[in-house]
Amino acid sequence: MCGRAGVLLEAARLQPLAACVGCDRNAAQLEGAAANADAAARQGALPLLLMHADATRLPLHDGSVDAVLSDLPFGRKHGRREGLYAAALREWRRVLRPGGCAVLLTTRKAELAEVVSADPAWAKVGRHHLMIGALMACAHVLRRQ
Amino acid sequence: QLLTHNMLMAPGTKNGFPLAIEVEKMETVESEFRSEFTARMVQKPVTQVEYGALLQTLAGLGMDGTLPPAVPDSYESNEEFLRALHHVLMEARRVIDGTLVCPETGKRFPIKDGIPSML
Repeated sequence: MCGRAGVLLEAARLQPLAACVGCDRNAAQLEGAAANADAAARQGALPLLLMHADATRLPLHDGSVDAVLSDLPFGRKHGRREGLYAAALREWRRVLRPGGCAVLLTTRKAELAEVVSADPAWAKVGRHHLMIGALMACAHVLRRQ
Repeated sequence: QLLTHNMLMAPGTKNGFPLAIEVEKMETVESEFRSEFTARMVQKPVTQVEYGALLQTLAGLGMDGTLPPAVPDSYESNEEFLRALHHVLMEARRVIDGTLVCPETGKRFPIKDGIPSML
């Protein structure tokens, strides 16, 4: 759910040795991601690996990912999908290697907390509260057991 | 690029990997070589590049012999190998438009403007 990949590009800047994969099922957003990635590449960044994909059905092998980073849809701009958090968390659990971590940003913290608590594969590492404009959001840090 | 291709499997399958590549339009680009990054992409347990699948893919693209048949010992300090791997993963045969085909189901996934559509 990388959208135009702002968060992913920031992560890539901070960790230049990582292969950063961005997935979104919205082709228009991905076009924006590609444009942002190209601009970053002109400044010397490594290219992002972009995929048009569904976060609940990722084209990635089990345990093939070291870390997951997501600015989750809040349900305001990009519409609501019932059960999206649960389905995405299940898929991230599949693709993350044991010991890998997920950092998930959302305003819907109670919903995310509920989904995480229901799955023993996730250990809660921490929470960071922050403002996104006028919205109160929370970055949940989880470890895949 | 082939680094992306090497990570992709057909969603919901057990063995939908590696996907066959049908190229309509491709390019070769230049990308700055970073030996540490490339070394980290070599197969480790569970993660990163699957070397056998990469060789198979290269053979399908008419690029046999571009890489050695096995990852050399001490690959982290083997600059010749890392440069060849970098060229293959990041520069050569970047598919702009084409199709990926699942070896398990035959399902076809389009590539448009360099981005595979895996829905």
